[in-house]
Amino acid sequence: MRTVFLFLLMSMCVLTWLGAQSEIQEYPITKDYDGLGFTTFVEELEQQHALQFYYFPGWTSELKIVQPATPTTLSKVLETTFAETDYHYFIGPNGQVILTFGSSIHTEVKQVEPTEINSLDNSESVTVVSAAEGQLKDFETDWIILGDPAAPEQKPRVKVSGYVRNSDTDRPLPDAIVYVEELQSGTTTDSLGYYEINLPQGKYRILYQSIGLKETSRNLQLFASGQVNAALGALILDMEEVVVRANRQEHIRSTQMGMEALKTETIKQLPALLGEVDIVRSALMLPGVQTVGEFSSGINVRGGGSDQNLILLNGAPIFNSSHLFGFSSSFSPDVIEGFELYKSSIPAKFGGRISSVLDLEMKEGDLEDWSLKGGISPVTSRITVEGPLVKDRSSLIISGRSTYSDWILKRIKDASFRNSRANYYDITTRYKTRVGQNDQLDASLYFSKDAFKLNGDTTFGYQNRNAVINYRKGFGEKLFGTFSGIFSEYRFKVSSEAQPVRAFDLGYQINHLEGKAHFSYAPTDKHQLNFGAGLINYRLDPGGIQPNSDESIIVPRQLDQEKALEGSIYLSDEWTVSDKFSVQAGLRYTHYLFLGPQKVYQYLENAPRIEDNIVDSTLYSGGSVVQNYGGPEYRLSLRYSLGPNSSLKAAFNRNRQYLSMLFNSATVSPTATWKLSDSHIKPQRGDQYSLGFFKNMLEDRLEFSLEGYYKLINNMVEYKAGAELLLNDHLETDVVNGEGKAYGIEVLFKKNGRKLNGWMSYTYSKTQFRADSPYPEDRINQGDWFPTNFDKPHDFSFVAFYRASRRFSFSTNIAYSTGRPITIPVAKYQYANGVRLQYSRRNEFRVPDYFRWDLSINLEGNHKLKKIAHSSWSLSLYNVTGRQNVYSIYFVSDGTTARGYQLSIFGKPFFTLTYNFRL
Amino acid sequence: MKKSIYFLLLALSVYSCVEVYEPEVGEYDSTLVVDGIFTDGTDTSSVSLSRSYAYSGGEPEMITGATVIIENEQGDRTTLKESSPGKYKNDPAVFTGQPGVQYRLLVTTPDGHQFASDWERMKAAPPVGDMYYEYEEREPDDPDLNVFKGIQIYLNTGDPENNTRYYRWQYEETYRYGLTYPSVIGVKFGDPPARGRDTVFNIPFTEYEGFKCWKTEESTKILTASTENYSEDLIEAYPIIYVNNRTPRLYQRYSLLVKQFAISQDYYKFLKTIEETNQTTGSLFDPIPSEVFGNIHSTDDRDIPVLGYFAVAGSSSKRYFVDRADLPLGLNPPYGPSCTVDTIPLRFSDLYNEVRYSSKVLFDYTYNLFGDPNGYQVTDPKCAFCAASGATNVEPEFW
Repeated sequence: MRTVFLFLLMSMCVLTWLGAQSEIQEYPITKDYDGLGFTTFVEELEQQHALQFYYFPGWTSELKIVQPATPTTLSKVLETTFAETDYHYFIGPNGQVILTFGSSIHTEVKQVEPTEINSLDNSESVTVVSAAEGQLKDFETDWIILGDPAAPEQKPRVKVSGYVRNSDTDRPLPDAIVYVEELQSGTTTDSLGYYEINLPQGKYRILYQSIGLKETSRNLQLFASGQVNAALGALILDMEEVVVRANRQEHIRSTQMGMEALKTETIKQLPALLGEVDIVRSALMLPGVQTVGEFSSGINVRGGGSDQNLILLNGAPIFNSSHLFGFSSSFSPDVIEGFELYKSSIPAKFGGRISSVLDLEMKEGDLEDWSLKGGISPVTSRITVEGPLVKDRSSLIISGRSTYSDWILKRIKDASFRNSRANYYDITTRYKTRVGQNDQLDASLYFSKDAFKLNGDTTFGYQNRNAVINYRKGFGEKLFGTFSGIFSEYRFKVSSEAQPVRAFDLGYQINHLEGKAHFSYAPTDKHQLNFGAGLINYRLDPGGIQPNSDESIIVPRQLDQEKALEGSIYLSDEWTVSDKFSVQAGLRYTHYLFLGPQKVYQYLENAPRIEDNIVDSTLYSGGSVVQNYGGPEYRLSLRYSLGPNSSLKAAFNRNRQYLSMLFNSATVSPTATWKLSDSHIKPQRGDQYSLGFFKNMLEDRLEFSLEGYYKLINNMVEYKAGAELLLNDHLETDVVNGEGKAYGIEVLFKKNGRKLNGWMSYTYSKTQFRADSPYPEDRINQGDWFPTNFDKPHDFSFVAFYRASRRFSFSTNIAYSTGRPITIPVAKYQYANGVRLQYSRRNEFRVPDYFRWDLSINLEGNHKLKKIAHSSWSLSLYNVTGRQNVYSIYFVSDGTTARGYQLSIFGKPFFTLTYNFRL
Repeated sequence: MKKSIYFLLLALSVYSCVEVYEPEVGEYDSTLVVDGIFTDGTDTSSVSLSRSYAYSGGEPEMITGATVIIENEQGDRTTLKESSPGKYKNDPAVFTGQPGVQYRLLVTTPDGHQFASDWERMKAAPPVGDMYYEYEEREPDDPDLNVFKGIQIYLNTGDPENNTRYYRWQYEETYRYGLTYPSVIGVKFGDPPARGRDTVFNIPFTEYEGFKCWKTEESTKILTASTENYSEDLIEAYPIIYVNNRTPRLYQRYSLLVKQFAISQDYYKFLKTIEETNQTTGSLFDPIPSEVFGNIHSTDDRDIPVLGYFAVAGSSSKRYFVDRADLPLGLNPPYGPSCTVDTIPLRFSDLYNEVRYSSKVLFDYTYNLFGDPNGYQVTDPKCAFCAASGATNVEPEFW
């Protein structure tokens, strides 16, 4: 009740009661309607008179007209009809007949002081026809009238604005969906919970939705601009359900396609191996996302390379997103809210990678209270502290995670492992504060580090460092700007002390420094413009080797630093052309400058690019432009509604990528390096065409989508046999240029229920690569198309969550895919006193198909609110059937014999128990 | 370093399992393989021609009757002679390798196809440096087993003139050991074996194997090193071979002949790639294996692929001995193989069963108090004959 009262204060600041009932115009009734259904009565009357009835249709299905006499007047008929009910009526001067339930329409004018939370502009008249303060029982069925029906605004379109908050926390709700049912369009609230939408005068039902909260609606009759606020209450323990529901309408109504979103709350319920909730790997259960092998870093989205995904953490790119060479992703689940994965129709504000954008959202600290939570799994323990620095204004969250994985290594049946040590940790922190009324400042830091000691004498370590500062400013009510400064760094270092004379340090480092400004502008409700510009400064140290002892005879060697600038500008408009048709058109232009000082080799013309063909080299001085590239990137998406529950979408996307990762293994290896495009290695370009059909069924409880895509990639690089990765100042001689081609169909069924949730997807796809050249040295497989390492044509996933009770839930997932392509020996030969292997053409064979079934059970402690600590247990069973999925097939020839082996990881059912707590 | 990292991934595979994998391979291209090296030494140059063979088994098909020519940059040529099927030898008395000169190989196969190698310049090989060993224990992969004890033989070598930079080594191990039960009698079975036709005879002293055997084994591993990142062309503590005390090598005396080749950078890269593709670890960080082609091309039809390499290298060699008496105390290798002796009655049918079906060999009688044979003694072949282990009882010249 308190909430409702508060709501009234906030949502209706100036309550103006309509004019006296005595001034009501009378409408004569000459026909006998006695006993007629109310709806039929209304329809007839609206045809005969200039009358317009406003009421909630659900009320009147049982209602029959009681007509005392004929002829009579409308008011009398309504009076007798409503005599025994709680209904009330009001007849307006222009023929509006408004019905209310539970309270009659008053005729006094009553002022309510603007509250602190809601400082409304008093000059803007907000007229509400409704119950008296505190009596408004049901917001969802009552009508809110903005403006004076007698004196509607002259403009045909009026503006509805308002504030949406969480009724439990009283905090504003950013990104809440405000959806006008009749127009099938809507908007979202800004970061401070405010929204604004332009609508033609008329009556509407507006839905307010936000993730994890119970949706609400308002019935509006618009004659003038005004303000309508809403408060959404929490759906306690309904998180996973609401998570899915939040995008229900988005699914068919937005122009966006090829986008998947997952919340950490959902990911946490998936069965987790060794208790490690893995944010990035959970994406593998989504259609169109694959990986080369279990426990390998890097995902492949719609046939793209693993370096073609832009992984953003609070807007900063992450160059190595995994711990322990792919064992787990380097983000603690406690500090990640969830992610959005764009597989196609990538918004124009994103750029720099051609396959996908994985946008990880960092959690914000609580604005109300301080809390501590953590968890213990067999491999890591983690802890998170969050709370307000200034209540309701600024918050801080700090989360850390560290491993104790050494015990695993000690159990390995290989001497070199038992002498190895592995450690990793990551720390994430975010500070967010409101500045003034409309602005906010947001800063985050991220640090992850892996350190290994291998076989007792070699150390290897890598780390990510990240800092982001965002300032969001409102310029009036229609234009918002976000100004960001982003720093991201990745480095690794190898040190060897095995032999004093050969002791060395080897290092690699990449720095990304970015400044950008992003604006969103909504001139009318039909257009949503986004535009902005950015500049990235890359600095890359390709590496060097240094002696690390006095005895060492290693020659210090340092490759030239690489420097480049990447500038971008973009503009996109989401244009609702009609109810049925909408367009999102964007153009992004990027320009890239590769800067000196740099030494560039020239090669013999019309000859293969090999070291022997270097004819000359040019030295560029510092700051001079060695090479420049650039071009437009088109982003176009179309949506056409086929009906209230289905739509057809199409999209075209072009992306350019000036940074690629070079490795010659099946997956991203620990010493894989990023390389900037230079005079010889050209930027990659990807074009994707996609088409999709989207349908909601069973009252939105079942979502269906069918998407097809065709993708072409230019200037992909692939390593030659025996290529030298590290400390190579002419990498161009070790790579071949090629092109990629990928196409596929993705089918997804998603179930959103109260107890049962989940999805099922099937993907058929092909991913191919071709490297053709006049010279055999620069060809792979004679220049024919061949499947890439991650080409898995059939891919099926099934994920289900079932909540048996408030404390007990259960989840399961099933994954099936075709085995990945491999290159294996087809013959043997005698060379250098030993048996050697003659390999097939690249990727001619496949490992056996992959299948895995996992289960997990989550048990929550009791839910007493006053309890000091909340705890939960989760038990997971990985690989229930114990299928020995082939991780890799390898061959060892020791000279006298050559033998093939197949390796399976976790080829048995594997139990894990994890404990989580919250203070 | 690389390998260790790659291995570490497997560390996660606590619950992993490895099984033998037999690929189901249908067709393959039987490809010409040239395994050639030309040196300035007297016995190290040879060219082998063969064809690759099915993965599932078989033997390489040697190519006999090919014309194999080595040519130098002045146009002097020599035709190699086929010493054994598919193996072509150079006569160093006629045509010797000279450091500083470029050479190439020309091959015409019996089916008329012509191939040539790229030119390679011979580098002089510096002498093989010092060898030494250190006692080393090695942990077996299975933690339940005892540690291995043995010696690691290291090589210190280098080129004071800093010219060699790329090295390849081959070695030849020779070791002497004693027969526990040298045969003094033998058996000849009749056909079909029957009383009267089968005979037991004393082995004549001329054929008697005595107590000493010498066994020689060649390296099958590719041993290479480069000093391209070092300020000095110096290789220290290069691990040539680990000899554990569970092999017969350390029973009595062990000798190691190390041949050192000063190879070209191209050949070094080629060997590295061969090594990479033949010693994969099962990690997904292994380089994707692919066919490795060397410096030999078909000259009449460029599309015929050729495996292998024709290397031109200066060579040097050095022999190293390890005597049992010098071994560290803790090593304590056994004196000979563990041998079991079975005594069987003096009946031919029993001897026949034992020798034919249990792979035992007859080596002596048992005698009664009066010195008359009353039974046969049989043992494992390796305990009675050198030849059973591929060894010889002839002392090598260098011994």
